Amino acid sequence: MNLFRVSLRNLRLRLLSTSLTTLSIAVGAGMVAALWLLIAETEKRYTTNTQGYRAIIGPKEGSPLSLVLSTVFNLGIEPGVVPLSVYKELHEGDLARRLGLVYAIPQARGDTFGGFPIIGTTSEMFTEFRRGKDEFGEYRMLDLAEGEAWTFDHAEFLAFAEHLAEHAAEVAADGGEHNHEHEPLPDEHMAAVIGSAVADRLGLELGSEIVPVHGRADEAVVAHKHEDSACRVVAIMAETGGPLDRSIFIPMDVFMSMDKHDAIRPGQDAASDSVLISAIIVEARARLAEFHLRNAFQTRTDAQAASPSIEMRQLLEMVGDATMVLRVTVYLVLFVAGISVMVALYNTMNERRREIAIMRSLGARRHQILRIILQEALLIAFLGGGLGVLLCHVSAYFFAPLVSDISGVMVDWRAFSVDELWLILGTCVLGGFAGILPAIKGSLVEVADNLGPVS
Amino acid sequence: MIEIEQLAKTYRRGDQLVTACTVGHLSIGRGEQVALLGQSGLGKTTLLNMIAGIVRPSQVRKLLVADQDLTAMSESARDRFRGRHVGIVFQTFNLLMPFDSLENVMLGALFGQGSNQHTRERAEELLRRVGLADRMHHLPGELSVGQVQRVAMCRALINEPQLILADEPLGNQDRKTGGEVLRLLLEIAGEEDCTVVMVTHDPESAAMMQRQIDLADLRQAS
Repeated sequence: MNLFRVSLRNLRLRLLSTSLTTLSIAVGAGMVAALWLLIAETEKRYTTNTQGYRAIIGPKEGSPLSLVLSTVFNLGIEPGVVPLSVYKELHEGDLARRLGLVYAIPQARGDTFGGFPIIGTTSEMFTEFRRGKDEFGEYRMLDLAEGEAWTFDHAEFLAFAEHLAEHAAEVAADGGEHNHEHEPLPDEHMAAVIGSAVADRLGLELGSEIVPVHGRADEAVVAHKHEDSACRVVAIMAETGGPLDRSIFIPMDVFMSMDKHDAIRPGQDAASDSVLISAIIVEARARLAEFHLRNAFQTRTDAQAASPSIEMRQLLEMVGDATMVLRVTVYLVLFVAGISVMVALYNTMNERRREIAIMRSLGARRHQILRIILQEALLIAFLGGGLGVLLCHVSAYFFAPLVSDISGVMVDWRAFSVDELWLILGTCVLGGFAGILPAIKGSLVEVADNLGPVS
Repeated sequence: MIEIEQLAKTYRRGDQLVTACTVGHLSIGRGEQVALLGQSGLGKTTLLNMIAGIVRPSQVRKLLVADQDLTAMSESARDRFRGRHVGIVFQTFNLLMPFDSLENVMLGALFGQGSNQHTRERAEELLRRVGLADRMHHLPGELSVGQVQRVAMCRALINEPQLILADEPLGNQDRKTGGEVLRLLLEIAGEEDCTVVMVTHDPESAAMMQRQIDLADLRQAS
């Protein structure tokens, strides 16, 4: 028998009151933990998912942030297009040599399937693109879980661009309207490599057919379906835990051959340099390559360079300011829960006067009564804090897909952090403060007045 | 064991001072078993509370309990003294509801000499002795009045006190059951050379004690 056990038994005696106050603390702590988890996961995702994208070269229209969000995170709409001349310059020009270019991979966007973006690109996306390094210092590539990726590399892309230019020149010479009547593409090009989330969500497997929809998912009802450009799923990517899981990659020639996709816009030079793409993903060996690129493109009118790491840092700073209101709100909820512990305990003090008087008559000192009641508040807070953290992760388990759909952030329910221990500790401190007033009231109970009948 | 001289407890009720208890002289020896009699309202419970150190007298010349001058002690010291040297049996027994029989007895030790293996063994032994070997883990609500009284008695004895103060310890029980429990209490107290002071209105219970004192006589002595 010890004072801790006395506190435990007292809580058990008032099980309903104890449960309700514990629950109120759990809700408060759970909200704080959930907010922390969401912010941490957001920061983590937005930081780790920019690895491999040292810089993004895209259209001058729109902000660098919208270019990054569109290219890296599949969020928002593509700000515009950039001419192939920029892509060539990155591969062949002086700039590429100075930067120590590792890769410059083109992307063309604008179509979707089942709400997931379809991205036209080259096979360098599977052979060169690096998603940072793993714990052993090895580069992480875009691994495939099943199947084999289609092949359409840089050289083929340039050749295809030349073909597009020739076709455009012929059309212009004939004085006819621009059309998409190209030579049929090889069957093996009508292929798609899909992300793990795409496969899971849409129930796709190797051999499944994908019919691109022109435009975004929410416009799909009225959007045009590219029936002639249906692609077979030839590979499913291994899970990355990021936006790549929600992407569908098809060869650039397939993307550009679809009707309504004007690779060379009417009125423009019928040259391969005029072929339009959405963005170019760049990785380079040079230190501060992203700053060099930004400076190099600053005064140009045909393209801009955006650094995902810089843009995301600025975005997170802005989001951090916005979440301050949310933070204050959830801390207030927790504080109010602490007050509820105080009120609940304080209210029981009247009915507990006799019990306290009996303990005092047995020799309990005032400080021991104080300690018993404080311990009760601390126990409620500790249980509430622990339960809150648990609630947060259980909720994360169930609601992660919903959060991912809304925000694009994949919340990992297993992402326990040391901060959560601090949260439980903080909740205990709150409980301790909440217990002070009831404890003082309890310790001041007069023994003789509350012991019962007198003779 | 108990030496009292010129002791009084008064309360202020509005403008008036009400005297709750007056004792001119009282002396009780070690191991003595004394019944404290008197009409209701004479202050018998108040006197017990003053001897236990729960209530401070308003006036006192001498208040020695177990050779300790209670008037010189702080409240905390009196609490410690009471826990260690005094066992109390209440009229309503006052067991604590969330605790089973053994734990109620152990609470006496917790606030007295401290809870340890020795006190646990003594608590079990006392409960066995009063016939509650199979009721050690029963909550007060699961016990009969007589069993509750015996648990309360064990709690008073747990710290091997020098003094037991019992305030109408038979409660509302029938005389036969209550008498048996009282006999047991006096028997154990006698074995341990423990002084017993019992407030009672029951002549038969009083007759079981070695000495009977009418509080009215103590008042006259003042």
